[in-house]
Amino acid sequence: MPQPIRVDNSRPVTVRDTARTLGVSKKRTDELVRLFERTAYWDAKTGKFVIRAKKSGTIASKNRSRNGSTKVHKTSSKRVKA
Amino acid sequence: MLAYIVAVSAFGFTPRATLEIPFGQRRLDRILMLIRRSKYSIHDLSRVQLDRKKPSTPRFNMPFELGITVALEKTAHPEHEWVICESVRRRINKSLSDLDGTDAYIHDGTIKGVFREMGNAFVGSRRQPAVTEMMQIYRVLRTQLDGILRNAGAADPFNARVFKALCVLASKAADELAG
Repeated sequence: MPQPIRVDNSRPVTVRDTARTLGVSKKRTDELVRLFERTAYWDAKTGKFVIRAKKSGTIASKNRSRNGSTKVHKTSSKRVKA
Repeated sequence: MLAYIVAVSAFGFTPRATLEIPFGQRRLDRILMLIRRSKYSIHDLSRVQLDRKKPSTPRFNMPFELGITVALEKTAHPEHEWVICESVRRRINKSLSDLDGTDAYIHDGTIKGVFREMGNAFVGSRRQPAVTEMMQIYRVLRTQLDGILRNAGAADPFNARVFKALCVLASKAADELAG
């Protein structure tokens, strides 16, 4: 069996530490952090990263149910049932 | 490369690679400097194979860098820790018999295998991400890779700008994971 690495007990690095070590500017680090946050977020409930769906950029496709086309699904609100 | 960036970041360390250093210096000097500055090094020998371009030549860089690391550890930097990774069990006994008695981490040539073996190598680290968590970080980075490559005008991730961006993103993901 291979020997494990004898890891010292130092603090795990943060994203800022990594950026500093690699010589990435603060501005670029902020950009990358924003890019990450736009792409995914950590869902503590499920314990998983959720990758955000890409936006298509057109209003019609964003709100398909409200773009004037025929609704294909039945509504289930109480008001309509009553 | 991406799997190692994810694993090293997830365990709370900063990945380093020769391609991140400006080209003003000789490559060998850059390698020496990086090894001296790093506490740990991972040497994956699974890619020591003949390349497709003629004349077919084996890539000796990784075993050479491992040799430098072993020499430094035995002389000037005894505190430096190194491990070897391979994809095929016992192949290293044939390809590098000078290292008999040193067992390699066998990742089977898979991303999951790399995460599993890095978990075994860094078993003493404060952060202990699960293989499934590292897979999630990998998937997030994979979705961002094309954009990063396009942004850097690069065709592959073996580029200083792309490497650094991936390391920062992986570290950010690891921070999120650790809460």
